[in-house]
Amino acid sequence: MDSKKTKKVILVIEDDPLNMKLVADLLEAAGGFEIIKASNRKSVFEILQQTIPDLIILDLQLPDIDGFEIMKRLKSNEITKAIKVVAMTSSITLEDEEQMAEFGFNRYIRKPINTREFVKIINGVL
Amino acid sequence: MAQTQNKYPARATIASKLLIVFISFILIPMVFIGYVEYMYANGAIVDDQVSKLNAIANLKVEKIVTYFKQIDANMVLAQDFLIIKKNMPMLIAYAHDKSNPRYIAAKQELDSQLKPLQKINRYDNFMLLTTKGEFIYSSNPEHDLAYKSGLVKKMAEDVLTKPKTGIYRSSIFQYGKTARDSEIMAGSIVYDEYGNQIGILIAEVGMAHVYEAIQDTNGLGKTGETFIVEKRGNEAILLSPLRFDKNAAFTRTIDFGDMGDIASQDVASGQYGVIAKDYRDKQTLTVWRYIPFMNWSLVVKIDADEVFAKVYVFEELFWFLIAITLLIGIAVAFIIAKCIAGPICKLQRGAEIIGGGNLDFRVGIETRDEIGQLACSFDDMVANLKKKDEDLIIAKQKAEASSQSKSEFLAMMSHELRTPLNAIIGFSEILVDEGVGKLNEKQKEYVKDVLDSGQHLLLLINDVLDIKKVEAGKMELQLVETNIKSIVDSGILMIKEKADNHHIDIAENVDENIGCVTIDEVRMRQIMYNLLSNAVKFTPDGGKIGVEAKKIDNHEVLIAVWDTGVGIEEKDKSKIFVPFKQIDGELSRKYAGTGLGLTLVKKMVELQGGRIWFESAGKNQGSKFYFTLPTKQEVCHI
Repeated sequence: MDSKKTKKVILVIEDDPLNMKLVADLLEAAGGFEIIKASNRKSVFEILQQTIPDLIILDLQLPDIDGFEIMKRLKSNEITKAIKVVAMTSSITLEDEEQMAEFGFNRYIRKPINTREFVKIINGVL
Repeated sequence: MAQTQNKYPARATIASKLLIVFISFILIPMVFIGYVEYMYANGAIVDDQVSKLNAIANLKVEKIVTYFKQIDANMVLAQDFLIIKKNMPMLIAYAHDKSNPRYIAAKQELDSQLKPLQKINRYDNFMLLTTKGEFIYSSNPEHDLAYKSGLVKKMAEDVLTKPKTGIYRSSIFQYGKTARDSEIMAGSIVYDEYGNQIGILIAEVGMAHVYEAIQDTNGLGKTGETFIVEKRGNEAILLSPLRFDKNAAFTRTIDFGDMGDIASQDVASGQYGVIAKDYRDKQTLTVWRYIPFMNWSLVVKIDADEVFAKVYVFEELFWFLIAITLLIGIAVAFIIAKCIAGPICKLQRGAEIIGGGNLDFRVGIETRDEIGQLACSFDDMVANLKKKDEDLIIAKQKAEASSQSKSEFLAMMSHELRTPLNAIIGFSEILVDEGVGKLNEKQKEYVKDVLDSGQHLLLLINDVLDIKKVEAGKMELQLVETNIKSIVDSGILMIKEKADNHHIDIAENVDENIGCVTIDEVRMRQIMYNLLSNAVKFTPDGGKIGVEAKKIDNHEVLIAVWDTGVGIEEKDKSKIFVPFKQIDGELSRKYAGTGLGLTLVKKMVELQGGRIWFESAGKNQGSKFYFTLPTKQEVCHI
């Protein structure tokens, strides 16, 4: 269980099961992460009641809630405020890094993700 | 009519136009008719007055001539009086002894005949003279003035020159202070029964009676008068007093030159009047009569002012009528103008209000005339316009909604297409990288094909979405002042690896002073990347590509990307910027691309205010793509 303590806890919020699988598999393959999966708003806030992850990978387009809305809630809560967040989007709108930083995102990854760089990016944020 | 601030100031109002029309159609003929009438009346009055003056002149001439003919007749009668023939020699014989009974008897006999004759005829005196002009007898001794004045001697001489029964008349002479103290003498020779001259008979006739007739101003109004003149040389001397100058007789002369030609030429037959200035320097209407019997001229005249007084009244009435007509005209013109212009002004104001965007406004003119109809049509038109406007608004809202849903659709598309692609590309990448175990060659080849296809599909989706975005007007440019050199450099950097792999040389030629352009940097990179990667793609290994950039003028920079590649055949030139068309057949297979790159480049260049074109000498001759970008003249801060 020691090793578990050193493991970084990452909450992946993604509605598409295949994309979820891809991200989770990449992180698992890299090792050293504990991955918690959430695919809708309900599960996100249930999980956050119990666990405070080190990092959240947030898909900005969820069917029942906007990614920015989740972000707003995270940042308005003292406990969740400090959690690092990496945004993932398949949007064609060209939000730039600066704009995303204003919302409090630590990184901004456009889909399709680069599997070769993905873990590096995550580690960089951590 | 309340004058509002008019957007279109009128140069001539309807009122003034109507006034002009009114004046030209009513006042001008009126003035003309008035003038003709005036001239006619003027002429008629002058004619009337002239004939009146002529009548008076004729009457007076008749009176004067009759009076003097009567004198002549009396003289002829007296000349043959037996009492004179008998007694005159007695008086001459006893002239030195006047107390002699014979003298006294002779005188008494003469008195008994000559005194009544003198009194009946209202003569001043009868005188008897010797042929030598010596005084013998006077019927009115208080008035033997002619003799006393010494004029008689001359008179006697003159009388003696006359034939037997001739009557000699002297000129008028004045013996007293006033014109009334003047007289005329008539003389004849007295013969005895044997025809010998005994002496001379002279009648002294006072002019007072003649003047009474002459000066009678009956029928001559307030300023008319009659006087007689005698022509002496070039002058005419007045023989009678004037109405306005009692002492004019014998003292005042009238210059015939001043009286005009008519006076001097033919005063005798002057049946017409002439307007001339008189001795008072006043305009008068004058007629003349020459009296041959007396060698006098009779002048009858009246002041023009008096004659034309009626004309003046007419004239005043005429101007009064014109003034009244003018006032009525102005009033009528304004009333009509108000009736016409009022609704038009209302219509015009309504049009301005409606023009200002208030389509609910109605002019609402109720009159049934043409303007009312116009207003009705106008209101109908506005109602129609409003309906059209509402339709348009609905259509616009629909279009906006459609555009909105279009961009929502774009966002959805983007998300929905990329989500599965993410998995396809992601997993195949992992497989190709053999992250989950080794693959055999065939497996690896197929997975690589999946990855390539996935990536191609992604590019295609990106390009399609970009084009759709430009077309939908949703492409927002983030214009930033950017240094061209850095754009070119980063573009080259993006394709350098690929070029190196194919041993393609890259030449860069950017003017040092090229400066900045204001562009969307991301789009600019997209443009440069597309053109450069095309250049690399269509250039065989060992070939050359290059970028040039220079300033055209102060408004534009020119950037060119060239290669020594396959070039563009004439038949393909028209298709270069058409989606999915720039290459076909074997090229298409050989040089895989989305087929949208140049279409997108063209759209983005144009979106930023530039132009794009290309040159190619033909197959395998390479090609050169040019595009321009507008510059900013401000100093560039990098």
